Amino acid sequence: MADRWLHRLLWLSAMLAALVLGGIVVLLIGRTAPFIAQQGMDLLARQWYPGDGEFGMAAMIAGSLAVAVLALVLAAPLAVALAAWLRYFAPGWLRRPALALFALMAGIPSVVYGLWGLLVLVPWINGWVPPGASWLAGSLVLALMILPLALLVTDAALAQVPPDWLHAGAALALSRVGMLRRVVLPHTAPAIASGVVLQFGRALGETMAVLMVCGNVVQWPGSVFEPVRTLTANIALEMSYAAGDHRIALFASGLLLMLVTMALLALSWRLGRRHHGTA
Amino acid sequence: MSQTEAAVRDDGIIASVSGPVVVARDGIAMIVNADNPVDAITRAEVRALYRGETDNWQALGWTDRPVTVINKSSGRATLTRFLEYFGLDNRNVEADMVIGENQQGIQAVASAPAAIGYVSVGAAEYEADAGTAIRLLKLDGVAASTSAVGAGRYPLGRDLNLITTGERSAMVQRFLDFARSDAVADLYRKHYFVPARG
Repeated sequence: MADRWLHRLLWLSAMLAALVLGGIVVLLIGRTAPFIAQQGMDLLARQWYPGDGEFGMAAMIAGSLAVAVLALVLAAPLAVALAAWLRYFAPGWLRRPALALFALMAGIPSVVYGLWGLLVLVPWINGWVPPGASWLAGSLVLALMILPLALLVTDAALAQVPPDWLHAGAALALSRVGMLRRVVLPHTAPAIASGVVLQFGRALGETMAVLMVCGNVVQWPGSVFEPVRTLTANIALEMSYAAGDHRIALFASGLLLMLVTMALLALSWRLGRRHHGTA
Repeated sequence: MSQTEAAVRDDGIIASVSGPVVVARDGIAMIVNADNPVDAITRAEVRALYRGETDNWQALGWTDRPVTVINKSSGRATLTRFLEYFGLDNRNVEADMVIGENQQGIQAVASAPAAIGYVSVGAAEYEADAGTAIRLLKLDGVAASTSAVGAGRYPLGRDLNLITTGERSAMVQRFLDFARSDAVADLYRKHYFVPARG
C-alpha cells in the first residue's frame, strides 16, 4: 500500500517538473512566434540596435559559442588529466582532500568567480593587451567554473572501470601510462564526453560571471583580446529596461538558448547510452 | 487635469502617463580611475572619445595609454540622456566595454586604470567618498557634485520623476505633495540625490 502511494507521489512530482518545463517552452514560443515570423532572417542578418527596431542576434550567438568553446578547450583536457593523475599517479593521501577542494570549488556562486575575474583577471589582461574585458577573460573565468565539475564527472567515470581489467592489465605488465591510454581512457571516453557536453551547456548558460568580464560590446568575436557579448549577458543587461519588441526579442534569445541546451542534453544522453552499451 | 488619457499596453508598459512630477535631481558624472591624473574634461573631448576619434590618454594630457571607453547598455535612461547631451548616436559610439548598473560601471572603472565611464553623480560621489578608486571629472569646468547639481550649475543633469496613470485622486495628489515636501528631503539626501524642493 505504502509503496503504491510513494509511486504515485513520485509520478506526480515528475509530471509537475515536466509540466513546468513544458509551460516555459509554450510561453516562450507563444510570446515570440509572431515576432520571429515577422522578423524572419533579419534576426540573423541585421545588427543589434533595439532602439531602432533592429534585432540581429548573429554576433551574440557567435559570442556565446566562442566564449563557451574556448572555455571548454581550456578546461576539459586539464580536468581529464587532473582526474587521471589524482586517481592513478598522485600519492594516496592527496586524492580525498583534492577532490573535496574541487567539490567546494564547484559550489562557489558564479558571481564570486565574476568578481574575481573583474578585480584580478581583467586588470591583468588589461596590463598585457587592453582593454582587458574580453573573450579571453570570459573563457578563463568559465574554464575555472567548469573545471571542478568536469573533473568530478571524469573521476566518477574512471571509478567505473572494472577492477578486473586493471588487474589483467597489470598481469600483462602494462605500464600505468599504457594502461591509461589503452584501457581506461578508451573505455571511459563516452562517459567523459557526455559530462563535458553537459559542462558546455553550463558554460553557454552562465550569465553573471560572463557579464562582468566580457566587456559586452556587440560585435563578432575577432581576437580573444576583444570584448564580446553573449546572449545570456544581453538578456541580463537589457531585460529590466526593455519594452515592446525589444522585450520579445530578449524572450526569443532565451528560447534559442533553451533549444541549444536541449540539443546538448540529447547529445550528452546519446554519448552516455553508448557507454552503457559497451560496458 | 487634462493629461489623463492613460493607456496600458498589453505588455504592461504604460504608453502615456500624466505629467511627471520631479521629486529629486541627479546628474551624470564622467568618471576615471583614481590613478588617472586628468581631472577635467570638455563636451568636445567626451564626444571625440566616444566616437573613437581620440583613443589615447596622451591627447587629454596624461601618458601614452589607450583609453578604455565604457558605455551603458540599450534601454537605460542614463544612456539616452548621455547620448542626447553629447549629441551622439549609439551606432557611432565605439565602446570597449558595455555595462548595466551604476555599480558595475564604478567597479569597472575602479579596476581599469585607463578607463572612462559615466554614472549617476550621487552614486559616484558616494563611492568616491567611501574610498573607491574613482575620480569624478569636472565637465566643462563645473565640478560633478551633488551640490553643483542642487545649485543647478552642473550641465548634465537628470530628474527623478514619479509618474501616475489616469485621473489623480485626492489621495494620490496628497502623496505626490508629500514626496516633494521637506518631511522626506533627508531620504533623498541619504541616497545622494538632491531633493527637488527644500
